[in-house]
Amino acid sequence: MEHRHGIAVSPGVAIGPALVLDTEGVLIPHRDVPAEQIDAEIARLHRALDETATAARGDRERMTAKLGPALGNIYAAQQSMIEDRMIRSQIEARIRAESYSAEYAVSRVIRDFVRRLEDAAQRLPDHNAAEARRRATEFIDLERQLLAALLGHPSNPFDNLKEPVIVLANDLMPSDTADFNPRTVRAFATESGGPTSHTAILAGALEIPAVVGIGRFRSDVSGGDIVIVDGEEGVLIIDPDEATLAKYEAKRAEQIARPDRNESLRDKLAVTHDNVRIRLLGNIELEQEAAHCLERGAEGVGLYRTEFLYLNKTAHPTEEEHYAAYTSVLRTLGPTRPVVIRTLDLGADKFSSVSGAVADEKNPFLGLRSVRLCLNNLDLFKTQLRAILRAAVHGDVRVMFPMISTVDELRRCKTLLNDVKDGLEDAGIPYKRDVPVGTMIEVPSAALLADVLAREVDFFSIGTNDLIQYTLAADRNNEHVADLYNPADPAVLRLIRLVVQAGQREQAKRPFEVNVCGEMSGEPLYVPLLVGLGLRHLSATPRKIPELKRVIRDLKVAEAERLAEHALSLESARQVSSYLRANSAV
Amino acid sequence: MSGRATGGTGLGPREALPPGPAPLRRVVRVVNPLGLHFRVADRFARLAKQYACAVTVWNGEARADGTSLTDLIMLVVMPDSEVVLEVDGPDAPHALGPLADVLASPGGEDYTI
Repeated sequence: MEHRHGIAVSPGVAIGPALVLDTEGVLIPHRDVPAEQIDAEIARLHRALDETATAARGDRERMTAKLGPALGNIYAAQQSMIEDRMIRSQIEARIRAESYSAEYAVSRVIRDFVRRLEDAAQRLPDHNAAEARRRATEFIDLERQLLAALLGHPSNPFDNLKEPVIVLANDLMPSDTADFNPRTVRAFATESGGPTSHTAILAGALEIPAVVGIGRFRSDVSGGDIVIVDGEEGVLIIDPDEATLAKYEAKRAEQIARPDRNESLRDKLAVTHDNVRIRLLGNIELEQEAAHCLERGAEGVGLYRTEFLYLNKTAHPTEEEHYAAYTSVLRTLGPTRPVVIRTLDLGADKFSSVSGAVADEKNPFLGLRSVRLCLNNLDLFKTQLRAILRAAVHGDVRVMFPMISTVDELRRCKTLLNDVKDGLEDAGIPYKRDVPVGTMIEVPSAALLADVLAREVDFFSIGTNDLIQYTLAADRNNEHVADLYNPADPAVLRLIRLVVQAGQREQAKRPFEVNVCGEMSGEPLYVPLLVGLGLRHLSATPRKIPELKRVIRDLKVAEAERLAEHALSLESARQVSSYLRANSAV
Repeated sequence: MSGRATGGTGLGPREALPPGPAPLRRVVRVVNPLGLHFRVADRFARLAKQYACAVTVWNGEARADGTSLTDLIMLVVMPDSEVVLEVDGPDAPHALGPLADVLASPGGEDYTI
């Protein structure tokens, strides 16, 4: 049994068999075979070993012909490892003695080698440790090849599942998580990643327990091992003993039975103690989350991320695919609740095969991403805009452009939107002409020019995640600088205030809304601050809505304003954080 | 995993051999800048298989079957360490020199099997 600690990002306890995803997404569907199948299992193993050895021999011959024997022989070692009778006999012995499936036996034996090399690496000086770890990766590569041969080549790792699993990975790409749903994935745990990584956001959205940033653990676990994820304590337990298992089963049962203490607030309005109305909206990514918004008492969708339509696709989504997704959300929300659809925000940290994307940008977060990518690929952009305008007929749809950094970009987006409207008009296709248009404020330049941008749109939505990262020049997922990334930084607060003030000046003339849709608005600690800064619309993951409502109902706006005023006078994120905590009833 | 301090499964049958000439041993300094890495180990194991004698490599208390690449890797031999090469069997005197040369080879990158 092994206890590992990480960052809790999505609450809940889950117990189940591990599915270890490496970068190749290989998994082990089952760990045991019936006794009568052992010979067949060993025959499968031999076939896989032979197939892999043949492939290595082929690689070697090809590379020898191309680059000469010295380089070709790099593959000779691979071939020797596969043919090594010691590995072969150890794997066979595991299948025979323990009734392991060939896949599980391969993984156990090879992970054992990996672990021993990693243990050795810890005792060695740095320069030698690196070499020992490099040797370990050769074994990991061998495991991957053997598993691929056993399981049949590239397949969706979730296709072979016999029961729901707990996904363990170094990190998950959004494309990996696209297939996750609570029926197939009970929980997940990753070695890297931070509390605001996309995997964390997704876990929260799907309400799947998750722990991230655990550090290396994959060599200590094989697919099929029983593991426990505690998404409240931030714990991953590998191979629990009976007592631990019993303890967590009890905790899990208790959680399922525990009524949500904020449940009673669902049908109450989000009004402050002194009667100021705050609109609470949901952030969603998947169609099924629209229902979560209503269940948690959100008044609409403040951020509908559309990236999932593009992920895991070999071709771009068609207009009809967009339209179907949007109308499905609108059907759930009804004709009067607002739904803010954000146009494609892919790039940098999100994998996709979207054409026009640049694969090897040196600095992707400052590169061709999000609306920049769309403006570089107008067909792609227009397809989405057409679908949004058509879907708008069915409800209160608003369109929002992400990552706007200059007023010219925003104007280009608006011009394009008008072109698309004209096209629909000419074609006689039903659409809604007066769809409200908004922009995300998530680049410091946009916050500083908020008064200029405000004249162009009907609403703002402050995307705090990117705004913080660009303001402090710190990647929220990079552990070495992650502590610089802090919503409480006075620089961030000043930018938010600028945006709110620009919005308020616009409000004096016409209806204008300023929303906050980053992770920050889902944190009860920051709610008084945001309200005090003048915000009246908050959008957060649906799970957070009831708690936010509770905080708001206990809040007095005048006090919140004093709190914000004082916070703005402080010098550092640390001072602001301590001040907020000291004055928080949360 | 067994509790023995060996590189791997080791050489069970060796102890059972009938008494013969004593095994030959030589201390070899591994000077390859990467230590006993995959390609050197592979070359060594392939050569060891060509002899009838049992080939063992010792790194301190740990030992490896010289014909198993995996076993040799699990010895975790790093640059500038000394290993003991042990050969035991009828052709041991012929095997000792060539095998020691592989272990002591400075490069090992440019070889042809």
